[in-house]
Amino acid sequence: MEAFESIVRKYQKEMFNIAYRMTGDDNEAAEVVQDTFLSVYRNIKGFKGRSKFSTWLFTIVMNLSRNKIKQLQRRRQREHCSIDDPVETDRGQFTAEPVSDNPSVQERLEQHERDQKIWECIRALEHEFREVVVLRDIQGFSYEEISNMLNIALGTVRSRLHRARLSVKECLKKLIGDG
Amino acid sequence: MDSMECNDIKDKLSAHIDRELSREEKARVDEHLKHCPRCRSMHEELKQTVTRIKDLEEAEPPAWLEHKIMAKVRAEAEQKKGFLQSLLYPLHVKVPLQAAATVALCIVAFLLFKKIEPEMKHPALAPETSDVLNDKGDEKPADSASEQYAVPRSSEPGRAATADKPTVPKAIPDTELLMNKAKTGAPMSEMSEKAPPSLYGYAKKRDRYDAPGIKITLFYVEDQAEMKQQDDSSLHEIAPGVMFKSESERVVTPKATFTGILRPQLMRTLDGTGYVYSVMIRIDDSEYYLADRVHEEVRNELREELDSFLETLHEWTHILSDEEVNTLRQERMLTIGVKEPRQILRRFHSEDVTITVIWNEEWN
Repeated sequence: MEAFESIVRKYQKEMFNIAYRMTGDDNEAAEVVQDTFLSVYRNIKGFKGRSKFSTWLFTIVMNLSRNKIKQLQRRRQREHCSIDDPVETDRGQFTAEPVSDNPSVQERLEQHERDQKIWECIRALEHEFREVVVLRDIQGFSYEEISNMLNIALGTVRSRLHRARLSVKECLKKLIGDG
Repeated sequence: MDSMECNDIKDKLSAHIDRELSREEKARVDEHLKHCPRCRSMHEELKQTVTRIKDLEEAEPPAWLEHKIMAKVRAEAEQKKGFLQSLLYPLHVKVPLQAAATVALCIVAFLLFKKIEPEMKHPALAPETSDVLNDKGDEKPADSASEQYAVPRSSEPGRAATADKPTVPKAIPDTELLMNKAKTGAPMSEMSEKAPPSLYGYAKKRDRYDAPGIKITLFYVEDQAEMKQQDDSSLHEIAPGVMFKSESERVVTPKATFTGILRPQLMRTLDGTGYVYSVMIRIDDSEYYLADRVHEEVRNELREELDSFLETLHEWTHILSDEEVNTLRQERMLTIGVKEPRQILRRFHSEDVTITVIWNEEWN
């Protein structure tokens, strides 16, 4: 159990980031991470070592995130105002600060706003394009690792990533006026 | 510049930024970029976009996340240990006393009463109960037009093939099982005690609108021989390895006996006699469940299917109130009270989940 705890400690942040970037919701992302670790615990004996352990781990996270996205989409379709709407602000931790003359505060606010716009553009991607952007540009996996995790060809990784980045670029142009 | 070459180069720009091109490809792109301002500009824009994405602030997981993960994993470990230990003892049904957090999977459309007063008899109606099972005793695919009901099958491959054929439940002499007929409004049909175990009707009392429902528990038993030794008349085998226990007051979940994944079928039908029963599926993190492992493993599927069920439910809002639909969405369970003299039984079907809409005001 101690060994497992060390695995949790080592990977939970990265997994949470993936799940959060995919689902757009803190709570759903936390749930995905919990489910992932439970799945790992149950199936650890089935891990044959054909891939890196982390690749296996993140594959599970991606799969569960995908399932979660579909769930959320279905819920949103049914509800005029979904009780499960992902939070599109800064993960609920940001509280409105009074306008300040402090340049560092201003800078933080501006950075935050820019981040929000980028985040919006990523969230606007279809999930198969969002996946590759999250895994490559946010999490830093190689094309080959992404190909293994998502079980798609390298060429598909390349083309999806390119299209995804073009979409984000165009989206940012509309939102902030430049690419 | 040749635009076809530009198009070809543009497709490679992302991979060029990521240094994922072969040496030859990289050289070709580099050469092209030297002479093509448009592609160079696009390359630069893409680089900026990638940099912006990379600079996104990393998300911090909640402080409680690690603790919660380990709590769940430890609980899982304890449960496995407990189950293994229980197999070493003479088998007895271990009934968890904390019934508050148990879940009942509503699978079969009809309720089985242990002791019941004689019911009014009705002319027999199609569909024939034998239609539900094929010759091998395996469940036929649900056919909403024929209003058939099916029991869940174990999802474990091979189990159905190797296990015994479903047996008729132990006779309950005082019980008359009556089958609902769908919206034709035809009167109830009567089922004999020899009806296939996969098909049940619900029993009526004198007043058809007053019949109480029975909570049912379904659980899968690995060691069926041992289960049969139990002298528990409330237990019935309704499908290979699938035991059914009826309780008039509370649901019991013998965790120790549950070993596999039960995948009920989500089925839909209309019952013209008009009983509406409550949907009893609760999804939360409680560890008390029939088999937490099963619960966890099917939870995602159940959630997806429940979402489908809720979509279907939209069509039925003329029967359910908005408040009831919202309650069902939020809490994943709903006891539907009688709104009209016409009470409707519904089952919602998909590949993996059966939800039976049933009514029993005693369950509120």
